[in-house]
Amino acid sequence: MRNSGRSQTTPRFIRQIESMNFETTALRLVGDQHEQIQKPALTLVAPTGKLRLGEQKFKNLKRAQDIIEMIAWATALFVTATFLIDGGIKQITDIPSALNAVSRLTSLVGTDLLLIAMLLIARVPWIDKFYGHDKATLAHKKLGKPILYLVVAHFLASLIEFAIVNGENIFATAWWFITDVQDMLLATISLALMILVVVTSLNFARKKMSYEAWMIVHLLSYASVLAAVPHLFSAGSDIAGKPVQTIFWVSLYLFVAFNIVWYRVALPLIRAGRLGLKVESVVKESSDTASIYITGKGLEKLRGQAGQFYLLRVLNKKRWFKAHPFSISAAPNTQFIRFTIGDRGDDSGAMLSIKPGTKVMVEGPYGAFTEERRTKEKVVLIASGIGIPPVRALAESMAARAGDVTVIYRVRNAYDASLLDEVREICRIRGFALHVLSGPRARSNSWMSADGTDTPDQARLTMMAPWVSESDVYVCGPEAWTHSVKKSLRRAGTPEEQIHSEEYAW
Amino acid sequence: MRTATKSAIGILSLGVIAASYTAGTAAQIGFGAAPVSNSSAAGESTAVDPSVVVEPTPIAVETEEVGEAGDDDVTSVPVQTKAAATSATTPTATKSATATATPTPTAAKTAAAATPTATPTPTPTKTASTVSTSVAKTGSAINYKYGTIQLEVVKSGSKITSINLIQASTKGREWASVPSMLVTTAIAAQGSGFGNISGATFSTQAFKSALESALAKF
Repeated sequence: MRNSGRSQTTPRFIRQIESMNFETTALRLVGDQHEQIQKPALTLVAPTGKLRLGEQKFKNLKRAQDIIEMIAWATALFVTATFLIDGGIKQITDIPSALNAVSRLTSLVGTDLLLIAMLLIARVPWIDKFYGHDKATLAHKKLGKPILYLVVAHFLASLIEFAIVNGENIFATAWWFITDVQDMLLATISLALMILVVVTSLNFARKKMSYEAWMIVHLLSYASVLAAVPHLFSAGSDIAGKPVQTIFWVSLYLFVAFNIVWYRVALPLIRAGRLGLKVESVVKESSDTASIYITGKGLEKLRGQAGQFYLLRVLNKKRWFKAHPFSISAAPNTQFIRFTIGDRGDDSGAMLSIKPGTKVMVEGPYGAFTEERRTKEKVVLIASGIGIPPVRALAESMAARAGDVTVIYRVRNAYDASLLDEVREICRIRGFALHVLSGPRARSNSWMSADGTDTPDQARLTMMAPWVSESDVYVCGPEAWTHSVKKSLRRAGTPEEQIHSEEYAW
Repeated sequence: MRTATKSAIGILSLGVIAASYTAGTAAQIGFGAAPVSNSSAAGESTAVDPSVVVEPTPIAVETEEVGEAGDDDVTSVPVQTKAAATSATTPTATKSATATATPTPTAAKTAAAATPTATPTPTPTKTASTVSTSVAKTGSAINYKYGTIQLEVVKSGSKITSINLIQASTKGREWASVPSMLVTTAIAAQGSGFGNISGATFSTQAFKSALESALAKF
């Protein structure tokens, strides 16, 4: 290694790239004809001057993750411990008291997990920074069912306990419960809402529902959580009159509420007011993709990084309530934010016909698909189709010398590939190797295009990027494709922690 | 989490759980577990038939109520506290207090915890000062699963100074201390805004309704 792998420096002449305006012409497929289109002049940003690299970076990340997970675990342990210290097990003498203990413990752990799950989806920067939005969302999804099981167990245990004690049947008890016991009506509504929220989020239901319908139902989870609060204090025996537990639970609730309100509601609104973002122009990039240029005041305040994404909200009557995640397709600069959007048949198609002057709002930046995760001197960027925007932005801004970065771009048709002209130009200026893989697949499970031979993917990969096992690899593309790229990378010897990919987990 | 961290946390967690379990077993908390003493001022009945629903008579009696609250039969239900549970196994708590004795919750607590045979300290100052300003109202009788709860609430100004149990039946003798605990809690909370006593949801709910009905009359 030339500088022992501790840092990476971009040569000085490349750093002055900023002053270079470059214009590209692109071949576009219009109908059956190829047409030459002049694209607007584009200014590249100066790449990162110097970047710290090395193992330690990865270790620090892992340490931070461990601390966050430890805190989360500690909350669950704390509630269990208070239950035990309180004589939760000792009180068991017969079946009803055993059920009472089950009901108490499940409610304590369930509520704790519920609050953690809410925090995971609050798009909190300090979670996003260490895990990435996709992993946080996945963890949130995974918690859904266990929480529901715990809450249902809590409900049933209480119900059966009272049915036995009352000597009545379950339904009479349930009725008495709802009508007579303080705040229990709200708590029952809360349970019903929670069941609804989790069931509509199961895979089979998600497929049948529109995103909007699902979202509206999912917003009810806030109502569900709030409706359950009164009964914790009035009917529950673990909070009221116990100062330590009261302080713990009240501060946990307030902490989660603050994070949600601030990061999901207040901050985006404050920013929207300050930035005053507007669509400046929409430029077609290929037959089914287009770039949206957005301008506003003080864009540097967003402090985005290449490789990150924003949630874009178009502020018109039809769509203001829904936000779409899009990666920026040009490194952050002071003039514009650019998203390159592919027509995937859904709402993103409508985005392409958005009128200049339309007001928009962005939430973010989110994502850990950035240089911050880089630990090696060499980098391989692999993109497929509309996965190119973050890769294009990374290539523009990464700290690198000529030859340090290899870009592999998989497209159906090189004459109709989004941003290919720009990627070519960047690679030419910065001295990066570019491999465009166009055409049909080599084999059914291959992520590469056919080259007329039967060479395995990982062999071709090592030919294109001989140091792939010693590189950081950034992969962006459809899920199944990403999966097979990762498989090749593992076979080529790239360790797991050097493979970076981000999925749109929504 | 990394494997090393995971193992360390796992072992630590097991330790914490074991320790808190031990602490939980050592503490006397559950109602069913602790034997409850039931002393009476006059010493009429030291043994109470477990099957009989205990009907504690008013425990805290202000001077002005003595006449109407029954001067001949002032039975005091000891205020059972967590700390008192072990010491309270001796049911021979003699009580030499006069009918005007007002065992304040704190006084009863400390007394019971320190010496099982302690005499609840009368609070003469309170009696003197509250006579002129206290107003007592009796709420309606609330019937519930284990009988009836009816309360008399004494308020001095806007402050609840004492709550008297006119009727307070519970599930059985080991639950007899629940109403007086609820009295203590309710006075501390100055109303019905407090949580359930674990294992005594019915009594708590009925007590709260009775308390609210009494408070509504002010």
